[in-house]
Amino acid sequence: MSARVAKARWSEGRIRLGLLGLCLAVAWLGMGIRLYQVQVLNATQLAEAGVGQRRTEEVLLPQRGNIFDRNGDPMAMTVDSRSIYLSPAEITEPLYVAQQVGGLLGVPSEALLDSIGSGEQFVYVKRQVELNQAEEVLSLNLAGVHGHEEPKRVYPTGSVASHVVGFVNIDGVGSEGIEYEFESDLRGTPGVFSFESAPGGVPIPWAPSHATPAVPGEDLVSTVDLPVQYSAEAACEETLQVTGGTGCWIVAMEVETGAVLAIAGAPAFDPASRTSADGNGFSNFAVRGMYEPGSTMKLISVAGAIEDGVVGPTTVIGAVADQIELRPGACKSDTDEVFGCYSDFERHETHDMAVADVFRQSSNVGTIKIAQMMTREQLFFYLKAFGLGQITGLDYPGEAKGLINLDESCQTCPASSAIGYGVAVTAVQMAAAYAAIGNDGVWLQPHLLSTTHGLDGRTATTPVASHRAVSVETAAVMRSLLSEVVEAGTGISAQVPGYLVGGKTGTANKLGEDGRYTDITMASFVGLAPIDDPKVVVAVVVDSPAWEYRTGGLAAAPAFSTVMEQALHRLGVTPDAASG
Amino acid sequence: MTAPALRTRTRPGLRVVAGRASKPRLSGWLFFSLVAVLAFLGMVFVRTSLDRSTIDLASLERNLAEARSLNQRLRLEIARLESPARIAPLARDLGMVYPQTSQRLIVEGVHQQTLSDPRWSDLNRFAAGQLAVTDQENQP
Repeated sequence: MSARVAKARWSEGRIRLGLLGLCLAVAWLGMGIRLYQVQVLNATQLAEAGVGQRRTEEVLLPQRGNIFDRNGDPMAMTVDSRSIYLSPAEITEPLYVAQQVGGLLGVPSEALLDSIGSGEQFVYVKRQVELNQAEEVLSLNLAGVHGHEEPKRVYPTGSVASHVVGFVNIDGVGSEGIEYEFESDLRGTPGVFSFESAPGGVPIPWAPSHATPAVPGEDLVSTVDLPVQYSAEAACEETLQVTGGTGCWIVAMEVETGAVLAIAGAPAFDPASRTSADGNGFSNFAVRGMYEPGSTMKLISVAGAIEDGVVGPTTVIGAVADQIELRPGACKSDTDEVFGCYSDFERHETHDMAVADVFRQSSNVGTIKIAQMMTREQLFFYLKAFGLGQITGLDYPGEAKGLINLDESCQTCPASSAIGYGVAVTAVQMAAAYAAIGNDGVWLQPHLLSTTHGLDGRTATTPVASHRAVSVETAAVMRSLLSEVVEAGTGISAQVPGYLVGGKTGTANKLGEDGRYTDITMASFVGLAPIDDPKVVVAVVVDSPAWEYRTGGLAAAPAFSTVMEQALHRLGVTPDAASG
Repeated sequence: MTAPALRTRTRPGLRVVAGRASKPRLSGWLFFSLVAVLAFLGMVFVRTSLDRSTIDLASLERNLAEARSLNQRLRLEIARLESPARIAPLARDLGMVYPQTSQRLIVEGVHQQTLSDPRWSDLNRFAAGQLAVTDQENQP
């Protein structure tokens, strides 16, 4: 009986049923364990992984700050644009796409066809296309043709102020000028928009999202005055046409603040297309280019001598010849192998000259004689005091500091420096030096940036360095001497109708490649107006004018007059009562 | 053997009373269904409203972006139109020139510029040849 019962209990069917039950139990247990792992142990990580698969992050590009001139007129702006690109794998009709897209965007269809067949996954057709043009392309609904938003930098004034503003590269990063110098202020901070999206990038409604908005760059207000800037550039272009020079540079500054009104150069370039007449026109010679200033340096030599009481304006310098030999045999060598022979521009009899006459007639020999009364240290002290041989601190990249030869072994250096040879300066340095005379002897740091305006309304003003170069009295005397140069000296062409002007011409022979001076000159004029209470200083430098225009009075003074008149009108300076 | 006959026993005093017909309890279900339907409709309405608001918001944002873009383009156009490089040639073509003579309006007693700076008097006289050279002590 019991055997039969046992047999019945362990029948094959029951065993199978038991095994099935066991399997089910194990399976349920496994699932339970797995469920516990997924839902409890690894819940956080898996949830994050799931969200990570759905989450998409878009970088929000900040709006680059605008650059304005002193009147609030924009010189550089950022506008919306689209970049058109291709996904070649999606394109079914390459030739049609190349012709249609290329035709609308002005891209050669052959090049586009090559790009489509190149095997690349992503090909830019054209970046930073204007919105309406991009819309025209995208409205064709061609497979594989896409666009994405990309801000574009534009320069509404074209080539005007191009050397000041500079430009950005295709990725919107400052590469030159103010754009480069103030990159960190202008750039802004990118933001991020994080959201959950379905396959295909479609945002999932009601899914959590988070946006960190982009912070726009700061707006910059420059000290530049666009009409004066344009006037300076037009004057430079005209000067090149008239004189046949190879380059022209003009710096205009406010005397009392050191604010730069204009830095103009010719030939100029269009910052949007970055094209220039000779391909090398990007560089700002007024800030980075050094030249031997010639007679414009006499202002510093004579001012230093007067300041230290070495001479007075009426002191007579005896026996001023038209040539002086600082090293034996220097004037006997026509080959200029021995430096140390200096001549006046025009031949004249030897006679006594007052310091004022030496300055007015721009006598090299007379100035060297004055410099010989000073010690080397005295002379170089004033060169430094007027900002030469060091950067002015202008807020512009790559400023040159110039050259002053302080080597004790150079016997002729003090004399040659006094008349503007053997030293190298920039146009900005000379403008700042003359501005110091106009500013009652106080040298002010030139600057291009007036204020910055942040999104939060914060406004910052640029601090300006200053130091006294000479006394008020010496500055007044020098202004008087400068006015005589324009009234009756070498700078008559610099006169401005309605204003009394003071200034100094400079004509320096250029060094040839063999190290000897050539007949080619660097002609310049630096001056102030109104001379009784100067408001504006303008420096004009003309590179290699034709022989008949080789002096500063002929090549540079007329451009000075044009720019100075415009600047005085723009600043609303009252005309002088004693002048026409 | 015959089976005993079934006997019905009656209890005195007990009688069959017809019970009250139970009414179908529809009101509770109806109320619940109504509430459920209303809740569902309410949810649909709320979601639809929210969706509509989202769509409206997206539309407004799109309009705002378009307006900003238009504003940008107009500002750019203004800046281009105001550029001295554009205006100056047009002015020249119209025959406009810079003023050749200065015009001054001097209000009596308000501001008059003079060149009679005493610091320069000696120098001006010297330049005019009215002052003899006396300062020669610094000659070499």
